This record gives sequence, C-alpha cells and structure tokens, in this order.
Amino acid sequence: MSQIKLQSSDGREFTVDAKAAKMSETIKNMLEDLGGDGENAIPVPNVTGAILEKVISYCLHHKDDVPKVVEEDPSKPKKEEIDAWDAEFCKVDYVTLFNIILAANYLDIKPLLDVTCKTVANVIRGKTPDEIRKTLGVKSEAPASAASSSSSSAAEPATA
Amino acid sequence: MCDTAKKSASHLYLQAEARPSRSGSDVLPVTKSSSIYTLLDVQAGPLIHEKLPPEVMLLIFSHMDVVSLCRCAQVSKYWNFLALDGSLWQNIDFFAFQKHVQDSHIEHIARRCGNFLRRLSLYGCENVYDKAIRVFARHCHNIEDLNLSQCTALTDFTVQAISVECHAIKRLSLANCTQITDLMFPFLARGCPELEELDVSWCSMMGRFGLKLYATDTGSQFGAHFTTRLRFLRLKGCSRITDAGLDVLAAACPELRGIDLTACICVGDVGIRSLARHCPKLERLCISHCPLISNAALKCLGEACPDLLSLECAGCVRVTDAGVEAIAKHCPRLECLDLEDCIRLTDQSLRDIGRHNRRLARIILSNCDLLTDDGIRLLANGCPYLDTVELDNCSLLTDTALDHLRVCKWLSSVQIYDCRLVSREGVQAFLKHLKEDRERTVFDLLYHQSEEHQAEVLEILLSRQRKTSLCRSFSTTPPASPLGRVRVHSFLLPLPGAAATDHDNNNENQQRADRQANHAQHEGFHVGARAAHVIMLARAFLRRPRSTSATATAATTLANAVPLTVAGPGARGPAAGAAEEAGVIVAPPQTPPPAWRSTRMLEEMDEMDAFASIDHRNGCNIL
Repeated sequence: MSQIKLQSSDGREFTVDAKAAKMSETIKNMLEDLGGDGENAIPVPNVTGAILEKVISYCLHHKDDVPKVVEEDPSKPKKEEIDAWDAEFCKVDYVTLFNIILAANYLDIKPLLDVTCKTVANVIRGKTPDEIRKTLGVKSEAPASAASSSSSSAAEPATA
Repeated sequence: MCDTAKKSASHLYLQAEARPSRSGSDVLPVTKSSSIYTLLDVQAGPLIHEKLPPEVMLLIFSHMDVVSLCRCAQVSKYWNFLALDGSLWQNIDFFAFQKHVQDSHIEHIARRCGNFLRRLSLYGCENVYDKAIRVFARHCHNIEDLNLSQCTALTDFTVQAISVECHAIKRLSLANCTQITDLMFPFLARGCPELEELDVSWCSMMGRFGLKLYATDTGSQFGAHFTTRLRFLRLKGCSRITDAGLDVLAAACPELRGIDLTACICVGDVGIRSLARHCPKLERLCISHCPLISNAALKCLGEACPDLLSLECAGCVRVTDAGVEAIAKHCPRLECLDLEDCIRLTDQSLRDIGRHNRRLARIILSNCDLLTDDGIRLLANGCPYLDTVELDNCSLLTDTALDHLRVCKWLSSVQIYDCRLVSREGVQAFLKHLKEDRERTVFDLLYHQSEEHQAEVLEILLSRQRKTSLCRSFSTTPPASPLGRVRVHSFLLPLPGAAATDHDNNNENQQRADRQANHAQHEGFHVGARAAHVIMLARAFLRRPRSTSATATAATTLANAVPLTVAGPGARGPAAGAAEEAGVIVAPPQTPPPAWRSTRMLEEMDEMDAFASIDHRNGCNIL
C-alpha cells in the first residue's frame, strides 16, 4: 500500500504517498488500528482542504528525512535556525500559519509543529509587548497599568 | 497563585525594561511596526490565543529566550499566565541582565519556578547577595547546575544555603567570587553528595583558613564525608592553596578526573605527589605557571597516574628532560602536552615523547628555544596523529623542521611565530605540500616575518572575526595571501560580555582570557589559558617596540576590534582611544624582557615577578 487517501473537513480528497502520510503519528496510528485498505479515504475532520494541502506538501518534502537525534543538552539554547525550504513554507499569513500549527498539532507531526512554532517565536522575538499585541492581534485585556511599557515601572513599587 | 503570578510579572517588566542599551537596538521603530500593523491587522484576524490552544502556545514560548518571555508576559493577562509557566523556566541565564539583577528578581524567579528550575546562571550578577540565594535554595531543590561566577557579593553563607537545600546539585561554579573561602568545603561535603564539578577559580580567599585545619582537627570526618564524587575541580589562581591544602582536597576526592591548578603559585612537588597518590584516575591536569613544580612532581605523576590524557605545565621552568621522560614513559595515552616556556627542554624530551606517546595530538613547545630540527624529526616520526604543534620562538628551527612535520597527516595547526630561521619559501613549500597531499579544508599556519605581513594577517583575522561572531571556526582563502588557508579559532570570538566588566586587578587579563575560554569552550575541560591566544596574537604581533606605520595601523584595528583583550597594563579599557591603545601596546612601559620571557603576555609580567619572589622565598623549603 503505497498510496493513501485523505479527506479534509470540506470534503476534498487527497491521494498521498503512504510514507509521507505516516509522518503524522495520528494517521499512522489510525492506519495501524484500522488496517486501512487504501480504498476508503481517511477523514481528517479538523483540517480544511487548503491547510491539508499545505501540510501534505510539507510531508512530501520531508518524508525521507532521517529522524534527528534528539540532543538532550540543556546547556545549549535550542537551535532556532530554520532551513530555507521550511522558511519559505512558513511565509504565509498568520491565519494560515496558525491553522497549519493546529493541523500539525492535531495530526501530530512533530517537525512541522516545531518549525511553525519557531516561526511564530521568531515573529515575537525582539518586539515590545505593544508590538506583539499589534502584530498578532492580541487584545490588550491587561490592566491599564500594564498596557503600556512606560507605566510598567510604575507598577513596580506596588509589588515591592 | 494568581497573586504571585502578578508580582513576578511586574518584576519581569522591570527586567525587560532595565536593559535600555541593548534592547533598544532590536526593537523595531514605531513607524515601521505600525505600518506592519496596518498590513497585518486584517490578516491576523482572530486572536492568536483564541486560535491556538495553551499547549501550543507553550510550545511557541519554549523557543524563546528570557527577554522575549518577559515581554510576552506583558502582552496580556493570559499571556502572562502562560509565559510565566514554570515549565518554560527550567533553564535560566541572566547573562543579558547581569548587574541589573537584584535580589528581589531572584526571589521572584525562585518562587515562580520552584522545582522546575534545573539550571541557573547568574554569571556576573554582582548585585545578588546571600539572602537571595537563600530564598532561591529554599524553593528550587532540583537545581543541578548553578553558575554563580562573578557574583562578587556572595559569601560562604551562599554555599551553606545551597548545601542545606539543594542536594541534587551537580555542577557549581563560584569562579571569581572573591569573598568565598575554604570554609565552604565542609558545607559542600555535607550537603551536596552529587556534586561532580566545582569551579572556584580566582577565589583569592580560597585557602585563607588553611585547608589543613580540617585535616588535623576534624580530619577523618572531613575526609570521609567530603564529596567523593567530585570529578572536576578548578582552582585556577587560588594562590593561597598550599601543598598541605591540596593534600586534604585530594584525599577527599578519589574520583577526581581533572584538576586545574593554573597559577596556584604555592603548590609544589609535595602537593602534586599527594594529588597523584590520592587520585589515581586523574586524566587531565593543569599545573601551568606553578613555578615550584619540578621533575619530582612529574615523576610521581607518571608513576601514579597512568591514565593521564592531558598535562599542561606551561611556565614550569624547573622541568627538564628527565621530568618529561617520566611522563612520556608512564603515560602512553597522553594526547595533549603543553610545555610552553619549559626552557630547559632539549631534543631528548622530544625523542622520549616520540618513542612513547603515539597518540599525542597536541603539543605546545613555544619558547623552548633549545629545540632543533632533529628533535622535530623525532617527534613527527613518533607521533603520527599530531594535530596541533606550537613552536613559537623556537629560534633554532629552520625550514627543515617544517619538512619533517610533513609526515603528520592530521596537522591542522602549526604556529611558528618568531622562528627567524624559517623562510617564507619554506612555509610556502610546506603549504603546497599539504595541499597536494590531500584534500584539507582547514590549515592554520600562523607565521609572521615582516611587520607588513603581520599587519596583513591581522587584518584578515579581524575582518573575519567581526563577521563570524557565532561560528566556532571557519576557513577562508584570502586572495593573494602567502598564508594559504587561514583558520580562525574559537578563541578569536569576541568576549560575550565584553562591555560588562571594568575592574582592575592583577590577574585581570588572564581572567578575561579565562572567561573567554569558558565561553568559547563551554563544556570542554580545556584547562590552561589556551584562549589567551587573542592576547598572544596581539602580543606576539605587537611585541617589538619598533613602531612602524603598519604595526600602528594593525594595533588600531586590533584595539578597535577586541578592545578588552588588548587592553594592556597601562590602558584604561575600551574607553581609551584606539590610537592611545596602540601607543600603549607598541611602546610598552616595561623594559625589554629577557629572551625566554619575550613571548609571554605582557600582563603576565607582574605575575611572573611575583612567582620569582615566591620561588626565592620558598626555595629552601623545597630543597
């Protein structure tokens, strides 16, 4: 069985290489449990067609990757480099990016989840709280004193 | 819970804002960000955290550094809650804040992180006092790696607090904590059974109360209860530690694998003998700049520690061929041998090394100016795996020596500063041979003859250095350079906290080089001040008082690029103008040193004089 059919929430069907599809732990487990016959499409109810297409393109590109040896070295900060293809892959608007993250989370595709989270982290890094709010559309529900950085020092004596 | 969260949060605001100079640079200008805002506002659409579940948010936050986390904590209540989740704070490094860190911050962090915290680095946080560490110890029992280097306000009470609460600690660094004394050892012995690495370098009070005290009064107890699992101990520059003190320490650490005694100027042969006896598993030993060490120490070492992999005894001027023979014969696994400034060595030593130490990869023989080409032949033929050879200022060597080195196929670095008899043609022939011999990506031949040439090399090195502040090493082929390929080692990295310190003390430059070494080689127990190469480079390069324009230019370049490392004894740090620095370096105030000292770093001069006087004083005790 080299091809697998996946069906997105909006009914689109994708035929995917089995190896690529098995990058998703969720699908892999499903196939093992159900013993998929390749005939019936596997439903992926939480993911829309457009996003699933992106995810599949990622999986196809990375299906032959050698699983990285997990470096358990807490002394070194986590590497934040993203390889060129992945960086290009992540150049999408935020809504799409978040949806990909959700899909990766649901489908349990660890490398994809990692790279997308890194991308968001890179967006956030180096920004002031105000800029973060603006960029990512976070509503400032914090008390007024914490809302602006200038008054954050004013909040200090209260805690001392 | 919520209350503490709030408290920590506002403290974190403070931290994030307390860093105006650096944070300012990476913050986008307002105009730019607002244009992004208008662009992305529509796209961002729904709130990020409505979209993403908390576990994914935490995953995103796990890719952030301390500063970013602090900022995220200010974004909203929900973000604050997430960003201050203990799981994100297992590994904290306050290097970016240093002097801004106050006791209250540590206490908040400790309460917030609790038992999540595994690693904490307070490197350079000079405003942290014992009280904060006490609170910290009470909350964070699972700490494994604690770096308190350069926290100069801490005293022995810190160690006491840690020993009472943190029994899981494995690595503890107290380097440069100048108030810490040897009274802390009993605390560690009692409370930290897991301790494997201890760094108390440059704690000048270490040994003040005479480690002997515990040996005589409560000796058996101390010995029996001391951390028997200690494997690495760094005692660099603990100039008060004596032979008796070392005996007590060594007796308490039978598992010791590595010990660094650089510049422990009161340690002599007797101390090394006890060390060798008590610690037969010793693999790495650094006794550089311990002027009392002589052949007797090396003989004891050779006989008692056959597993020795690395021995550094640079500047042990009493060591002769007999000492080297003892080591070479008894320690066949030796991989690294530093004999810099052992000026009495002759070709006989190299013969013994060549005969017994086939595995040798790295040898430093700089300033051993009795060595000849024949010795190099014996060395090269006997040690086929040589990787690094340093032969600076071995003035009898000629082109023939380079020819002999060709048999070593693994060479990646040869240093021959000031080998006046080596010609440029010889070097070029050597490089050509290496190139033809096999594909090699890096070759580093630091070779300097004319001053113009030196300037050129330095320009290359420095221009590269600026561009590659994070690479460990790299290679390049400078156009039209007679150097062939030049490799710049990690020791040319700019010192991370470069602008942070402006203290004045005797060992300042050595310490800086040391710190740089620690940064560059985070884990490796590469003892000795190998990273002092930057300084060496500068010194070797600018040593001669002749001040040609080329030297001056290069000095200025150097001063601009690595202000800290070239700040000479008379210089006033980076603030002093580059030209002035150049002036200071090119025409140093010292009288020209005797020949065997000439390549030593100038700032070590005072230290050397101290050695000499102590040497004189203790002479009768030893003999």
